[in-house]
Amino acid sequence: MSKPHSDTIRKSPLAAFALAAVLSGCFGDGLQSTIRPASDNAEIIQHVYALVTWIDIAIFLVVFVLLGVALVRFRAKKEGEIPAQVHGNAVLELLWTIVPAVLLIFIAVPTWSGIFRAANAPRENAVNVQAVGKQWFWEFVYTDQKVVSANEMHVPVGRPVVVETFSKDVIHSFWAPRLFGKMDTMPGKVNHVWFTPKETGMFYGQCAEFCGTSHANMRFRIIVQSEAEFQAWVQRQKSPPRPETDPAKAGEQLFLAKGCIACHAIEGSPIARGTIGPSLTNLADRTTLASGILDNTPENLAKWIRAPQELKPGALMILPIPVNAEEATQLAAYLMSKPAPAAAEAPKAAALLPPKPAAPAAKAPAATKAAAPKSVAAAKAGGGDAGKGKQVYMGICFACHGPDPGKDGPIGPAITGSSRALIEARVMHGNLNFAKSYPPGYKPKRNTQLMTPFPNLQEQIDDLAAYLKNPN
Amino acid sequence: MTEAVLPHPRENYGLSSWLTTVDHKRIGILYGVTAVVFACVGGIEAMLIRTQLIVPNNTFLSPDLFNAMFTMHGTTMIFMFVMPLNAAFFNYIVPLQIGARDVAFPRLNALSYWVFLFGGLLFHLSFVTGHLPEVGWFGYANITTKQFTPGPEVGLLGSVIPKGLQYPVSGTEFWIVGLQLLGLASLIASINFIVTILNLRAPGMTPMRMPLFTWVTLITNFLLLLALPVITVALFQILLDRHFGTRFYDIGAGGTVMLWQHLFWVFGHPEVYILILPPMGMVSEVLPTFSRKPLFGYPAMVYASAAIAFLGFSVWAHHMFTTGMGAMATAIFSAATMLIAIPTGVKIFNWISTMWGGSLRMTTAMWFAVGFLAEFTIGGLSGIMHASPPIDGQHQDTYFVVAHFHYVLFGGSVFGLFAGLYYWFPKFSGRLLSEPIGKVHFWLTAIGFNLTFFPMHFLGVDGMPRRIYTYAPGFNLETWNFWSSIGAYITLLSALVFFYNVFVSLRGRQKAPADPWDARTLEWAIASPPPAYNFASLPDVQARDDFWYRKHEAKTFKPEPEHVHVVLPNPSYWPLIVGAGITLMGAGFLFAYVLTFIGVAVTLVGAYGWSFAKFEG
Repeated sequence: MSKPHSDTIRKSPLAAFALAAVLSGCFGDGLQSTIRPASDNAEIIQHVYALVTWIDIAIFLVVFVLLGVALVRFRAKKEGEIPAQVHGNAVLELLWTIVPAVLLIFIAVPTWSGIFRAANAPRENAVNVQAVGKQWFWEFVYTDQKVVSANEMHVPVGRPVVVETFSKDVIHSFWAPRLFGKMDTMPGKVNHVWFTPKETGMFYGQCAEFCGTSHANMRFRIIVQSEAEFQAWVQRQKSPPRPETDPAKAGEQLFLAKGCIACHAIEGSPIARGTIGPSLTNLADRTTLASGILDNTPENLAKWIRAPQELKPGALMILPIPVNAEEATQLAAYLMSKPAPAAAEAPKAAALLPPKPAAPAAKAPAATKAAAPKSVAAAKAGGGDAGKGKQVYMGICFACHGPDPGKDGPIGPAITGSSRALIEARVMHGNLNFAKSYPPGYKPKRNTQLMTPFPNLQEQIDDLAAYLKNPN
Repeated sequence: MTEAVLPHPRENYGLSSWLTTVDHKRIGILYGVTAVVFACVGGIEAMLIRTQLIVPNNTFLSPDLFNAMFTMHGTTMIFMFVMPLNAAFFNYIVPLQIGARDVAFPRLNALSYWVFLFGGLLFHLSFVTGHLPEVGWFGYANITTKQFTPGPEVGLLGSVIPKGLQYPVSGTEFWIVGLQLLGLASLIASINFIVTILNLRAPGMTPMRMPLFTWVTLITNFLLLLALPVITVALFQILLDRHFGTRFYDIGAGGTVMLWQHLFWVFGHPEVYILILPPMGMVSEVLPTFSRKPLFGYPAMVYASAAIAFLGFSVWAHHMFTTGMGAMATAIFSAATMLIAIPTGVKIFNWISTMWGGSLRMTTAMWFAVGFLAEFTIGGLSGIMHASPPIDGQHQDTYFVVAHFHYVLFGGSVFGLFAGLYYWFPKFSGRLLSEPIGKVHFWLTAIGFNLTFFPMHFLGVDGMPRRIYTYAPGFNLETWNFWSSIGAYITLLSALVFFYNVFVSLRGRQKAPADPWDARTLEWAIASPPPAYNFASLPDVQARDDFWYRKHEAKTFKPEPEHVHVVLPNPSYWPLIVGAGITLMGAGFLFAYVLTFIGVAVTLVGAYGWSFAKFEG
């Protein structure tokens, strides 16, 4: 529970009224209250809100008292009595045109200063975060710290947080009432909202623009911490989970075998780079699952993994390969494992692959621009090792395209015989770049939204092309 | 030759007389009854919504069904209840108030009704097909694109019509096509009323002698004429995107969702004035009659109504304060929105001043008019709050806004409409609605309405967003959601009392006189209900509130003679046929394109027949 807002109360009598309403349990007490500000942004709104509420109450009293008096005083006393036929009064009419105009100026001035303040986000000492809206969860990308989280945003107290928000699908709206007024999250447009949290604690937010079936379930939390705690969290967000128990180790293998990497990313893993679903890095640290609708427990996580749509109707999490109860428990154990300590050894890429020769993927982090002309040259030479291509396919692509590339997979279509140009466009850009997602002139048979880009496989494209030319 | 194909309609009773009527009074009744039936449908949808939300984590409605319910509820109440019920009054009352025999284009009048009826029915056919729209009543792109609300694979008539001629039916198409047809109906009617009011006023009725209800009708129909084309364009854009591969709202191709919002709200904001101005006009007739005083500040009321309409075109982006338009645009629209509060406030004080010093008779109509003043004031006050973008950052898309618009739409428009209904009921039916039952109706409505919607302010303050099919416990939302739902059930009860009142009153034996209220305007100078020709001879208007003037000041009033022979436009089947043709054109986009071609043919045949129909007195 937060400490009393003594400054706010001294500055605004109506904030005292708000507090009274809160304390009386009438309203305003909730976890997403719009009248319990915990940041500068929310406090400024509170001040304008208080001012307008006073003015509104005054107008309300004037109108209702006049109406009430009229109703009582001027009831017809005699049947058929006709009162004086007054047509108007210029003075009165002028008065009640001008007085409201003046009152509105009182509202307009702090309003405009609030608008312009909100539009000028500070740069100094700011924490820059992207809040990406997707049906039906939130992704938080810390561009400076280079970490990604989902559904729970950690920020340090006292520093401005500048949020860039945009959507990957339909319109959403990013809103945590105790911290800031909402800003719409739109596809094709980047909006900004900023706030400086003034107290530590957990703050609740929710999508505030209708976005489809599970709009009600698109919740998130902002956790405001001390600077030290925030930095420690950032470090934890850079490492993959380190499984310690047997179920967790089994889960680690399942994470690859079951195709989870098609959609999910885990920081520190070179092959778990999925960008469709929420990042699963440091799941252990989160207080909730499935964007704020479930408490984070291994049981809930296992339940979610097996049948997401039962917990969140319409959820776009499609399992490439079904998972039984025991496997779900193992996967949950893996995902809930604490991350490896920050300064420790970088996870061996090879160790993260399914038990097959690891070579192609392990090369990935070393890809450079120089590699591209080499690949082109190799293609021109008809090069590309089909055997290596098969390993890449079976390590990564199979998750969506199925174990037989000649047949449609659970998510992706059959891709045998794809031209090199097509493979390069899909692998390098996935569905994220309208102009480059397909080679020029190519008309896709299906309008799919689900292909993740794998730019780390730039060097393997020839191998894949060779394999897919003749997958036998 | 066209007469040979269809028998010439002649009867005054029976189904065919209603199907072929071009009499503004009958069309008004058709509009009114149809609107009330749709209101019941919308009301049931509201009950379902409130039942789902009565407790947290409720499973009464699935998420998709809930989303469909709020979409249908909003669309139905706005386009199939309030707008047509307003039109019912425009139709019935305005020609009587200006001393005319009918509207300028009687057959066009009938056409607008048929397009409304068929459009509303087509929209509700979505229930039959099981594909309900789930996009909200304002259908924001890009959730309305094929990518996010695709159609299923097989159309309704799949087994009958070859696949190549079909289009997969989807709820979103019902919403698009339904709105196009409903908008068209209002657009057709708007031309009619503007011409009627400008050209058919009785001699001596200068504009500043017109009753205020006629004035707001004129202003509202200008709003319709100017606003509807904008949404027509936007709806065509999304229809073309869905059917013919255009890319207006394809983000990857450079489309922008902001375009839809701007186009929609350029229509949508004047739309809310379209919804509220006529009930304000009704209240402006009821208050003077039952206070026995003229409307206070009549010229100011006319100018304020015109100002509201004009300024109403400059404030649309206050629905978009959270879309990131940039500080300058946001500030300007905020200023314009605050400006529009001034003429609105003026009207409230003028209405109270009408009552002040009067001799008040508290009939049910008067109670509803007073209730309008109270509830609309509250709605206006919450509106001032979210005219300020910083505050709107907390209010937008929450139950605070839901509270605001229900206070102005239900507390405002619907209370005003009830005032008009109780007031003019004797004029259209020849019977007075029962006053005792009416008082019960009023108080039950006032209690139910306020209990349903006042707590929504609290829910908004506690951060409850709109359009969520459920909410979690522990966010302080349980208590007020519960009481709001109880209020909804009380409101349902109040509606039942109203229907009982209508039923009992219509069967009553006592006929209403021409002028039961000692009223002020011309419609009360003739019988209740009026004869088909309205006025035996056109009135010669001497003053504003001419009827009152003739009764109480000049003392020259003479009641109308019993029966007079007047030549009137003959009834006609052509509006019905053209209306059906237009609807089929729309239906083609729902089921199979071949229907559109058939619709075009029917419309052309109908238009030809209409144009060359012979007039027979």
